[in-house]
Amino acid sequence: MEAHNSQIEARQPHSRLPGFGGRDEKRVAKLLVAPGQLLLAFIVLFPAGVAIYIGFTGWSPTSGDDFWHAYRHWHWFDGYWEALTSVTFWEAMWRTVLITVVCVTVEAVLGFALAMLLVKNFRGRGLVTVFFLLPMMVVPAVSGFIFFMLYQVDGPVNGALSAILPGVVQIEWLQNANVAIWTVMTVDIWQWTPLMFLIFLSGLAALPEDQVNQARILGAGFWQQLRYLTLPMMKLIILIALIIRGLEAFKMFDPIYLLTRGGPGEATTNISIFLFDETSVATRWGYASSVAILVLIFVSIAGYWAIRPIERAQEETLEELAGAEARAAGAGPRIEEAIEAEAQI
Amino acid sequence: MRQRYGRRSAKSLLPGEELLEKPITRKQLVAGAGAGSLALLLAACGGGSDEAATTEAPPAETEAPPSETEAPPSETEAPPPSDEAPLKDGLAEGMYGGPVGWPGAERYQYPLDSQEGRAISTLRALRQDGKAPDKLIVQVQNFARPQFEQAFPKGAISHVALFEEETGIKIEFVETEPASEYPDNLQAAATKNGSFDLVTCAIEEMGDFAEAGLLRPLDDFVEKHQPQWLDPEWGYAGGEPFVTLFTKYKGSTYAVAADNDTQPYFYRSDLLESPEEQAAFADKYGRPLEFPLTWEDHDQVAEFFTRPNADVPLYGDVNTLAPFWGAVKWNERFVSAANPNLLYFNDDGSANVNNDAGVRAFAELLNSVKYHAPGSLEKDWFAQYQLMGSGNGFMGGAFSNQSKLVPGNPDLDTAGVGQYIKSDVTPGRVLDGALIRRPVIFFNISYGVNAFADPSRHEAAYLFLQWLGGARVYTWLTFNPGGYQDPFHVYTLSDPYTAQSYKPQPLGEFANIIPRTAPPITLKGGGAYRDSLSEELQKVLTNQQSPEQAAAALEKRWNKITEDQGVEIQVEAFKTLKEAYPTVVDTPGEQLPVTEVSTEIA
Repeated sequence: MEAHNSQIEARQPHSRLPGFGGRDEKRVAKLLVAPGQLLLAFIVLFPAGVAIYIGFTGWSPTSGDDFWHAYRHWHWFDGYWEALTSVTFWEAMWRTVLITVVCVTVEAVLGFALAMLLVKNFRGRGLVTVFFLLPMMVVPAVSGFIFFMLYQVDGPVNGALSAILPGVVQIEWLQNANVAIWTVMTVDIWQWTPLMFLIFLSGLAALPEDQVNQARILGAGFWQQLRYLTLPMMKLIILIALIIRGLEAFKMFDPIYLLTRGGPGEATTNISIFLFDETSVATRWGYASSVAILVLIFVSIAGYWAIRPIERAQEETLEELAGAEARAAGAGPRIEEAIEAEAQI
Repeated sequence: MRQRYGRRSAKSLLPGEELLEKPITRKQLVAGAGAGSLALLLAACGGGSDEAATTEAPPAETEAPPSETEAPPSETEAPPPSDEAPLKDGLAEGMYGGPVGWPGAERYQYPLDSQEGRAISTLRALRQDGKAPDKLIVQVQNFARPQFEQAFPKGAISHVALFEEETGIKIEFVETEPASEYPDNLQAAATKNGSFDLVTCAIEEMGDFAEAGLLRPLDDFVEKHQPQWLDPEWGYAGGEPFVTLFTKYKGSTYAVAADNDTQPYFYRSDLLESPEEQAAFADKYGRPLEFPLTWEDHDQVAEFFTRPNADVPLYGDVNTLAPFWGAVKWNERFVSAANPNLLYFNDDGSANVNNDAGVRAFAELLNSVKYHAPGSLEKDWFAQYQLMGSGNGFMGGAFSNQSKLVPGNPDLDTAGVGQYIKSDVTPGRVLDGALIRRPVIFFNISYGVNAFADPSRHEAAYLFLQWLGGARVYTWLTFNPGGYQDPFHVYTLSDPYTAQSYKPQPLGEFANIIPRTAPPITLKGGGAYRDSLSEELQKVLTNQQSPEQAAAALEKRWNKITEDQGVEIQVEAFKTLKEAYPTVVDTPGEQLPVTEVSTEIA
């Protein structure tokens, strides 16, 4: 294999494409992907560049200057410093982390449990699966409004609780500062547990059945199978699912905006609502850009640490594969010898 | 002028236009101007008929048009030709344009020497000179659009159809909605988007959009075309403070009003006037049951009518306390704390809220929660209408269209009590022997001219606004059931169609309410000031902080906003805002006369 790869690498610099006037293959490849890369660079780099530029200024669209004249309001790191010393910013960050951790954890546990329930085949399984996936298909704005209605003090949730509990239940789901943040989390959990469920269901369905059967024959119970077989084999999938949902939950906006607009007071203001308020209400686009860059830095660091386990898992998988290949390679001659001996007999 | 009439065929004329066969010479023009001036002078002295003033005077380019305001005549531009014939058949005598073909339509027709007539006439002239576009693109709130496009009453055409009929200019709408209008327009300002001619904005946003360069100053057009906003008959009901509030920022005109979100205080008259209730109240509090004049009285009345365990639960206070919507409730209690007003800022731009009045306003609102229905912190204005209609609410400040939308509406008037909804002036405080009552105003749609649109379209865009915002045309607009743009002209407050729509008592009372209206913060960053107030109020109402802490926090936040927006800019703008504060104060115990407006269509 290595020899083959080295042959390819050795051949590439000399490869010429007759259809492109005998030009170098690598050069042609670069030219062909260049427009796409340029577009991508424009889409990613231009806004990032503008955000970095504006982040060093106190520019606002109501200043009367165009954004490219934002340098007239240049103040270097004042915006960053203001954010780093702002209690409101850190409270918003804290709520964001809390929401992310709680929502993703609950979604992962529920999604995994549902996937375990539905991985076995049974009559009506397809229908039940689709049923569980439905919340994911609802437009977030719609689900936000639905839950806004459900969580009214005189709404259906309190109505249902009143039916089963003594007295009239009047929980202020959206008005109580201590309750509201948990309320908005339920919307995210309701909506995105199905995604976790879908990812985990696919992963579980792809697990090698023989190993599971072997473990069962050898007497492993459900929890032993789960702990020593299913979870280790699902590790990579679980990590990917957690990262995808973690990034999404970090950016949560719709349910909070629709249910509480970040209130009461600032009790449910996460970083997205904080940024929205700074741009769309306070019109401090310079400051908001500084905050956005700070958040990007934080998320990038967190993302780096989150991806490391995946890389390690990939390395482990590759090592296992390499080991299996080696074992197979070692076993090969012995098998050949056995075949030969049998033939002689 | 010569080209305009000389080169056009009769076919291309607009309705009501006449083809002049010969071009007008300079001599004729000067003579005409002199004759016109003489005719106007005679008319003004009572020596000539209206008809002479409006239909017989030849075109004059050197004299200002006859005006019903005190505004000085413009020397910079010619007035519209004053010999233009009526634009159509069916108009009342002396009228130049307006709706026809339905009972009472003549009330909304306009003579040539009116703000609407001048707008239409000038637009026609601009069109003939090729200086006006074929189409004006108007940004409009989605909820306001039907009022422009829906023909009402039976037999009428819509406003946009009439405008097109009289000027040949089409109106095309681009919709926005309350939640996205502000960011949309910020974006338009940042990108210099001139793809639409007229910008819709709330009065609290005027400062932002003016400073951003999105709104074009309209002073030159106002001087030239002389709208009658200050006219005692055709102007705004609140007089000069109201005109300042609705149209001005830093001393210049930037917008034309097309709404009035001043909040009357609605109450259930069947309960207030019930002999049993009056007797019970007198027994309990030792004084007669009346609509409250002060906030202290208000608390007693609210307490009295709070009956959560009744068969139909009743709550004494239905003022909305929801985020965003409820912030303005602090304003009415704060501003009424001094005679004639307690101002939001000091002259140096610093916030004037961390004081006894500011703390008291927070504390009173916190106390009022116990007179509210459960969940009041999440109930917006519409939920408030539902509460009143379902018979669960007794009183509260609301948009003036509560009396338009609730009575008889099967979706809102579910208890059939809408017919008993009446209004009064918001309670206040007695200071130095005077009763200070300050209703509040919130949101309020205005329109301005998009500075980034092609400058050659600006004048036409403004003239559309002058026409639309004229007392006669706007009155016809406001009673249209299709939308939410509420009345504010003197003329509208005695209009029978509007009385049918808004009900006679609330419409008559509105004339008392408007001149007492406290302004919101219309400085640059108005939304930021309002939202920080809303957040601090919410923290008080949910017991996250005390009223004292809220006042201190609000002072800090408002000072920070002022600093961010630029102290000098804010100080200058505040001078204009101060002119928007009302000066009307009352005598305690003195009943304000309420005009019962007739609903009879003559």
